[in-house]
Amino acid sequence: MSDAWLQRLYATIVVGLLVWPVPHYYLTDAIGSDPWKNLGLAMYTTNFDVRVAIRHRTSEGTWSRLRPQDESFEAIKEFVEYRRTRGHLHEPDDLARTLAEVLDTDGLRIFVANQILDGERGVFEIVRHERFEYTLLPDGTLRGGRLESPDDATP
Amino acid sequence: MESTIADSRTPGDDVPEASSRILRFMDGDRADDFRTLSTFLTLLALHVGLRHLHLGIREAEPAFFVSSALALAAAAGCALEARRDALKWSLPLLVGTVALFASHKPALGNHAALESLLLLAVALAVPVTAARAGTIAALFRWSCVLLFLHSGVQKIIYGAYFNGSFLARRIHDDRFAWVLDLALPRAEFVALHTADPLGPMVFESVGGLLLSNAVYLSEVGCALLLSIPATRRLGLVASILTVIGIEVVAREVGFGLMFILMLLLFRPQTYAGRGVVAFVIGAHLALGVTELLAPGVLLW
Repeated sequence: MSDAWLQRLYATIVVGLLVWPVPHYYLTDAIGSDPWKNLGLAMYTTNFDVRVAIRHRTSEGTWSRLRPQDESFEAIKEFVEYRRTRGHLHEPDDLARTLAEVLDTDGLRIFVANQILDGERGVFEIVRHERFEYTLLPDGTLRGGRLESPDDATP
Repeated sequence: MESTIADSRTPGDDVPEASSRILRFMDGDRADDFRTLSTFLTLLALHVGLRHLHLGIREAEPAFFVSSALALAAAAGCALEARRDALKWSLPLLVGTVALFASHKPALGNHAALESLLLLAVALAVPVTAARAGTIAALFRWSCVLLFLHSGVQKIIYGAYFNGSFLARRIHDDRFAWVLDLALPRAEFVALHTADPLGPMVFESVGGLLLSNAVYLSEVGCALLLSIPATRRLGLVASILTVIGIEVVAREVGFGLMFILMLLLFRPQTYAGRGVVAFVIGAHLALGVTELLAPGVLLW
């Protein structure tokens, strides 16, 4: 790369980073990601959390709340980490696949919510609910995804 | 063997004036010599290599051992190539480091993301010669300003520092609790300790509000002082003190160390002796030993 192009590139990086907080704010809001992620640069800006609740269908056909342990805990942790960065663009399909195997279940309900600090009121509130439902078919494929009705979005 | 941004124009090379002016705005108070930059890049690669090694051990992830080895090889390469006045083969190794790290840690944290961006930008500047030292150093100096600016501006945007709501929620975090204990009246400290974690949690005392508002004001202030050539020296002192102040609380010593090293590019003569290299290596060893003796303590 020539000196001229190097200077152009570096100047572009500088200018891009200079204005980045504005598009970053709207990106974070639009996809529901953690403000500390996606090149947010600043830390300790606000509190953000991803809450996950899971119910699985038992062999008796009833729905039981999952108490995460070992493998399921690791899978949930990984999902939360991705979710912090990709926001609602990251759906829990892989998580559901792992949990179906670990729990040996054919039905899963996954509730995901973002919790963010309202700086003005000092309240840590849930701002986005989503609910996902999956069914394991006899041929081993997992079918399902996000349910559109927000009324169903409470665990 | 010294250069400034203005010097880096080679015959027949049409350097765009606006780009040159943006970078020249962050010229140091002395022409950057190649050795200063190569020392800094050696230390940066060393820091990345040791951090990835730490991650590899903590997360038992083989990819981090490989990325650590690449970064450490880049550090050794930088140190060796610096004697030949051009960095050619060592820096591309950093692309492998970043690629491996990003592929196994896609949810990059903010500082790791900036670090990756800068490592890639430096790798694109190969061969790094004396003529390019000023351009590259200017990018790192700009990064110092932008880090402070973003830190302050994003705190303002989210509005959780005007009334202290962010810090109030950190009352149960040991790293913050001792400072809050000093800044807040006893009654307020106890009340926040027993408050509903969902809130509302805000500061009411003058001490708490001053502490909270001082955070973003000092960060924006450092960015401004560093930006204005006339106040840059004052800005450097203020910035180093601010980083130390932040890390006394946040305890991310590894990051604080690299940030201060990056800030010292505003005073390249700091890198003239061997002291800074010995200090950084010693500090990283101390970090590693501390992690081994007290696992879970956040120091990187």
